[in-house]
Amino acid sequence: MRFFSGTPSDLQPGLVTGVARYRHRVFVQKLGWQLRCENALEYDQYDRDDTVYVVAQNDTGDIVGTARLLPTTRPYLLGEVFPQLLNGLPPPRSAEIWELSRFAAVDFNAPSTSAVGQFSSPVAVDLLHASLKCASALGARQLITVSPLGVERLLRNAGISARRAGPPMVVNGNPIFACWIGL
Amino acid sequence: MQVSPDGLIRLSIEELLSTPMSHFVSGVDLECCQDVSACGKETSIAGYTEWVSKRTPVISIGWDWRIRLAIAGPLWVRVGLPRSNVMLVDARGNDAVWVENLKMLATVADALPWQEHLPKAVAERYAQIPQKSTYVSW
Repeated sequence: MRFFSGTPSDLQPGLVTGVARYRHRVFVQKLGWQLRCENALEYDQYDRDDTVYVVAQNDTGDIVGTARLLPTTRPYLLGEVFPQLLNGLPPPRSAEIWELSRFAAVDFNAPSTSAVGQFSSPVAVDLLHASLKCASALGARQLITVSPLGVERLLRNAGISARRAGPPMVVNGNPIFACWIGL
Repeated sequence: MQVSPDGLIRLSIEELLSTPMSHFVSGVDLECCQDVSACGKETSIAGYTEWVSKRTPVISIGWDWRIRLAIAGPLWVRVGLPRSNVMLVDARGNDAVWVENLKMLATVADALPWQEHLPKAVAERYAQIPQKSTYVSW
């Protein structure tokens, strides 16, 4: 497995489009997220020229994981869409705090689509570590993320310093929460 | 009681024990349930539960649970330390060591009537909603 990271201009041509196609398969097709998409590509307003992507590819070049990093000094998902998850605190705004979002670690080529071990899959854990390493290189000391509840357990089991930034809330039928990740 | 800049709510154990907590959501960990590859193989049912305070700022404590078979019947037991946005402080206002904080919160969790509440809460939840994939994605 190989990892690539960078802004759209840093990454090889076609990779960002590949990420958008992969995200569509995961979030729209598999998870049923109601997102506006065209041509089976998943982009939103936070996919910008300064967005940093972390991409995992298997040995045959297929994307098997992706994550998105955004600086909190510019518009980001938690700050604009889910500030209520912060229990009354204002959304963080700091060059040392980045947001991790659109995290997916699904290998569509894997023989089993069972969820067994998905929360402890090597791809997920390795992608997490690659994302943390990338964020650290960008000057981040903490990450903030909006996640399903199970992610807090995943992070803890992976030995990553994480704790909730506020109580969970149900959004579109799913309990989610804001999570701090220490680097 | 207020939220500190780091997102934690600091209070004494006495203040926490005097704060009414209610069940927020509970769920089954579908990873465990799908690990059944052969008939007769021992399996387990496990999941998570979240409890919150009724007043703001909201205190939240969550933990994992597992059903353990006993002679008297199934027992719902807490697994591991809880997860929370609470930091317990001593009489001088000093933070507890985080792990010790979680251990104390575990005793608070154990004192909640969650074992009576959860069987029905979990059954009701899964009787109503179709389960989406549990891929690791957010």
